[in-house]
Amino acid sequence: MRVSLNEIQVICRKAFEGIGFAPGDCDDAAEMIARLQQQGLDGIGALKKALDFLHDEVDRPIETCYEDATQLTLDAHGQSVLRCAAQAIELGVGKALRGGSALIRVRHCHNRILLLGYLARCAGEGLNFCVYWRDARQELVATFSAGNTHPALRVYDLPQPAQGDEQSINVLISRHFALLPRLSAADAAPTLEFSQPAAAGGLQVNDEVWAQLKKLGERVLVESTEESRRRGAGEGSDAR
Amino acid sequence: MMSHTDTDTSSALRPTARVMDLERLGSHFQSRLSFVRSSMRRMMNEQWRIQRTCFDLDAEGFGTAIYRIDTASAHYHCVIFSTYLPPEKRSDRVIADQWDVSFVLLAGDVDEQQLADLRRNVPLQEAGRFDSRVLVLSRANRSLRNFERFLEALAEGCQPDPRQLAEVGYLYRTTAVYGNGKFGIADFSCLQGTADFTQPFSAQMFTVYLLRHFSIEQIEHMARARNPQRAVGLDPALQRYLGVGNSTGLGMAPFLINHPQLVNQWLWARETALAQVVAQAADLPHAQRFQALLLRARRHLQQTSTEDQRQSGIDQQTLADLEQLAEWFAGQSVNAGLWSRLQAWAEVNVGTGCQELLVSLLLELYPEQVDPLAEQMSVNEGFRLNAEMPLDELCDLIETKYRWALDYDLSDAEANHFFWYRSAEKEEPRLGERAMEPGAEKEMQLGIAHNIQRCHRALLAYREQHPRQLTAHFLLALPQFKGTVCRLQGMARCAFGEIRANLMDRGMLPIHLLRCKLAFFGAGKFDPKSSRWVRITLFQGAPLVSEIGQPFPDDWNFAVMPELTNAAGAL
Repeated sequence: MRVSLNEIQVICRKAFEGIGFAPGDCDDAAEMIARLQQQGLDGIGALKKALDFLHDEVDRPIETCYEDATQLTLDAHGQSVLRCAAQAIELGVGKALRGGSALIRVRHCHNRILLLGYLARCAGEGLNFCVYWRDARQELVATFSAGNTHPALRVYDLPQPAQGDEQSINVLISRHFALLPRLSAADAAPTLEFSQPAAAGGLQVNDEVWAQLKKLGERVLVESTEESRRRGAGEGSDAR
Repeated sequence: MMSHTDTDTSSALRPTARVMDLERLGSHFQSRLSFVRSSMRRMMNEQWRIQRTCFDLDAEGFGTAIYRIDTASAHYHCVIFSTYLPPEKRSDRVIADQWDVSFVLLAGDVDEQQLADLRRNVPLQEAGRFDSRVLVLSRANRSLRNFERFLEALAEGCQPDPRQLAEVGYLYRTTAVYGNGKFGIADFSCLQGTADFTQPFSAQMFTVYLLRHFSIEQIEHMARARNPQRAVGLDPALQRYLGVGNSTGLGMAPFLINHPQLVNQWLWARETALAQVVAQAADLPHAQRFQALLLRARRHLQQTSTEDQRQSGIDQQTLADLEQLAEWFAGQSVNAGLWSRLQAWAEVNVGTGCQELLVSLLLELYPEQVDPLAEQMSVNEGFRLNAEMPLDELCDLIETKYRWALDYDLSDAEANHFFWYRSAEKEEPRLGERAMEPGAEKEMQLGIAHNIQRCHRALLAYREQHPRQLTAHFLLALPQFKGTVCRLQGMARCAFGEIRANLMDRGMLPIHLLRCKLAFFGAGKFDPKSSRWVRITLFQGAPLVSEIGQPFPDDWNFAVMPELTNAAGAL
């Protein structure tokens, strides 16, 4: 089905609220997912995948493992990247503006693709971004050149299952150089490329996923009773 | 567009604490900056062409009407479906599922297939699906009393009694006017392509104006059908005095809390306009114009009726104040500082209602100063975290800009009396009593003061442990405060925008929120049905479609009842 940008934002906000995220995270999620959808990156699909993990979401601090003038490594301890995307990126932007470049790394986090939806906010800073992460089978590399709100995203198959610290996401930020995705390699072939913005006139989403999101959003609704119908919206509100 | 900051003409603007007081916001009146005024100005100045291309109604007024609208840059269609509504189904609540009329404003043309699609979906409203060619989706119910009386009079060759319109100024009352992407229609950003609807709510206001036009044509059609020999058209003076009603409840209230940057922009424009007007050197023509406007506003308010005791009391007080103001003004010398003296006098001598009515009157006096501000009512919303703000600075910000929030005693039960929630019944926003009703765990986050206090407490404790850290570090340790911090950092740069009230307080009246937004729309004749529900009238006094292209004084605020020479006698 086709939906408006506003509908995507509203349903995301409500779905995240329904799961129990803090209001600030719900707002961020709404914007990030809508942005991804606009960029043709199936933010709604990413949200759906994310939701499978989120029932175990825990409310914990984000740990700072290391920080200096150009680097920041955080550990999200299994939480959604949503909880720290703003803090991590904005600190990184500050470091890159001062020092010329920065490397931000968030370990043990979920919904990593959502981070791409945040970066559009930083388009006006004159910085180049390169974001990469791996899951079990693929490596994803997104590059934003300065001033651009749309990333070039490449997905590479990994020849063997990745090991080690794979629930991390890495963001390279630089004022002076742009990183491009590798163009060709013997051991990897790009499988998808999304660099076109979605067309105006509504955004295409999967009906089933949409229905599931709506259902999640309904968790924020309070059951209606005769009493609440009568008094909750204002006595006499049915005046003819 | 940047939101306007404290540094812009700040010393000339009224203090934030006064402007953002909830009761004062709830005392606003329509003004030159209202969206119906700027919409009308655009239609008239650009000579929009509105033509009826289909009017397929039966004798009862049921059927389809289509209007085509041509502007300088684009064309649109308005498609209206009028259908029989069983009396027991007629309701203004958002939980209604059938209405007397349902209608849309579309970009471009409408073909047969699209018309069939619309015919299926538009009457369903929220239960239907729409695409981005639809710009506005709305519905309205008849004012049964007026409908019948108008029909009777016109069919007999008479004009209806103007007093009916003074009491209930419309034939139709909208109960929702949707824009910005609801149910699949076009996002607001899609309207930025042409010059026609770039200002917030301008597309919605225009659609309401078309409903007013339709209501006139429909009632005349029905009168002719009832009595072809004797029926007459509605007198133009009555046509102008006919507006469109609107019924608004709690659904509108969260908007003002959730869009503080937009609210800031509107109030900045209003206060800036006021400051610019007050700075003008008064002369005799302007003083006389002021007196004429004052007289008209008094008559308009005298003709405003409501059964709500609180509102009625307020209106009576405002009328008494206006009389006093008129007397004082008549005794003043007309010289350069007159407006400034007037404003200072009013601050001390009359109530809030009269003070805010005075703002509306003053805004009429110097159109060349005020009208450009009506084109600056939109803003790019969104807060971006200032990650590197030192904790001391963040603390200072809260303690200065949000002192008002820190000063509430929120430990008191009265301060937590209400909670706002969305009902499972069509997501209708409702107010619940925390101590008595279930659902508080799902409450909407409208307690800005509460959030600020919680954040401040946590921040003080964190700063004690980590005095040299930055805001981002605080939010890494305590991510739940991210929303509050982003908002307060962003709003600290705005002069206005944060409504100074505890929205959970027992004494809080939601109607103040409704009135503030509705006044910006251009509403008149505020008629509360409770502290959570209000009826208003839009476009009362506005020029007619047939008058587009004729000289336009742009002076139709505070419409007063016309005197007709041959009005119908008995009611």
